[in-house]
Amino acid sequence: MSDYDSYKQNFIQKMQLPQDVFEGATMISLVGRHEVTVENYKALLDYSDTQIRLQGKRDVICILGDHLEIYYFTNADMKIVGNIDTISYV
Amino acid sequence: MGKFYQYIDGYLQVELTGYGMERFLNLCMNKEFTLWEIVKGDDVYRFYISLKDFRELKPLLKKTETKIHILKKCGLPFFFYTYRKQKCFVLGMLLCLGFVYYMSLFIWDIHVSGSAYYTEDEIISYIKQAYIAPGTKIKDINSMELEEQLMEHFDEIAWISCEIKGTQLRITLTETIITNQVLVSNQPSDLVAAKDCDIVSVITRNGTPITKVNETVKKGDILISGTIHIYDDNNEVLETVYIPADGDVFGRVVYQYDDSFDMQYYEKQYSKKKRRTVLLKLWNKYYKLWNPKISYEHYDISKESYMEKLGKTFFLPFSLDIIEYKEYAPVRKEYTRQEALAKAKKRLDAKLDEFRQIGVEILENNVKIEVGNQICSASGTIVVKEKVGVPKNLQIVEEKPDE
Repeated sequence: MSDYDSYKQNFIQKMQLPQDVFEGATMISLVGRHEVTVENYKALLDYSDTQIRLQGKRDVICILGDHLEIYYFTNADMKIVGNIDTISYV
Repeated sequence: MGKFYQYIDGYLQVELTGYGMERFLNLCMNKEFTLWEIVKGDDVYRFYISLKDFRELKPLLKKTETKIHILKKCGLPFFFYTYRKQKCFVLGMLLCLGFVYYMSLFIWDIHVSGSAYYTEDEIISYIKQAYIAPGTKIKDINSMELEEQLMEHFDEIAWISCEIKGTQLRITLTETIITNQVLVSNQPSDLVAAKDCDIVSVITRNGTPITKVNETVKKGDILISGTIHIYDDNNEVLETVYIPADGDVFGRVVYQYDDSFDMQYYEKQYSKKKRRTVLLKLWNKYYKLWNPKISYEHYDISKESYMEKLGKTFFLPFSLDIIEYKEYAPVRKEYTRQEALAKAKKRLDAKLDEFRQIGVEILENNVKIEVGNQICSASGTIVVKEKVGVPKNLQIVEEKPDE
């Protein structure tokens, strides 16, 4: 992390600014166990009915489960339905 | 609503196979294509895409070395494409829509509400004859003008509103309250008796009262005089003034009541035989679809209308009327004593109600009902208390001074 980046992150945290807007952080909202909406992602890396990998700005997000299905898929957000077991950052 | 627009624009279910399928999806995302219900199969992706976006997929497919197969076509563009050869079907559909639209440009029905003194038919027939015949174009109708015209023609209308709803012209009106007409004129007049009666009470507002309570007067007798004499100290007439007499004079009026009806009457006994025909009404003309032979000696005709309107306000220029002829046999019957009495009583009550409705107080009812062999008759007198004074203009006789 460069000096500029750490300074910027520090500033955003101190000022309590929303990270998704100023840093482009990925937003994941989970509704129950069966529905997850992901915003601010960059690309879909891998998709099968047990695993979905998404490229965020810095990290790769990995969603594991079964009967996973992408309900809709646009430039801004995506909604995944299915039985979700784990959400992890790789 | 999203689904509806998708249907209008058309969408496809497709199957994606090949080398860089994930890359293809990412490129779609970057190009802002909307994909939905993406399902992963064995080395295939199945998803839905709108028709508009589908047409722009070719460069992406080439770049990612993938192939696409159409599984299902949904939506209106495909529907029209399927039926493009059935020209008559499409033409018929368009014609039907056009017909419905064209017909909605005309007035097909006039509805009047709120009238009591004038009958609805009276108003409707005036409108039809003077201003709007059914089948007039809606845009040719000027509601304001119609309102003014109606107000002018029907004096008793106090307030009126005309509105066009669908293909119906709705007229709502309020009538002025009809009171016993009081002629207020500046002409000098007497108040005279309208009927032979005994005077019950006299209230004078203007003029000299002539009658006294309990006095019997004849029709035309002066009750309150419009002539006022002013006397001087010697009890001699100093001056005579003529004014319009005014006041309330109530009298006891005797009405003769006579009513009779036959004890025998006919009753309709319907047999199960009936015939039907259909009457088609197109615009204002009736066409009988077939003419049944009616061999019945006695029959009733009844009519029922169908398909007059679509919904509540869309009146159609055509309707179907079903006419039914029902056979009956007239059966001669005779009233029993009780029935005859009840009927005579009912008729008498109706007459008494008529009196009450015009604000007349009933004092005595001396009607006797007699049931004979052939005829049931009710006769007697009804004594009422009612207003008897009517104004009558004064004939002023110039008195010649005595020589």
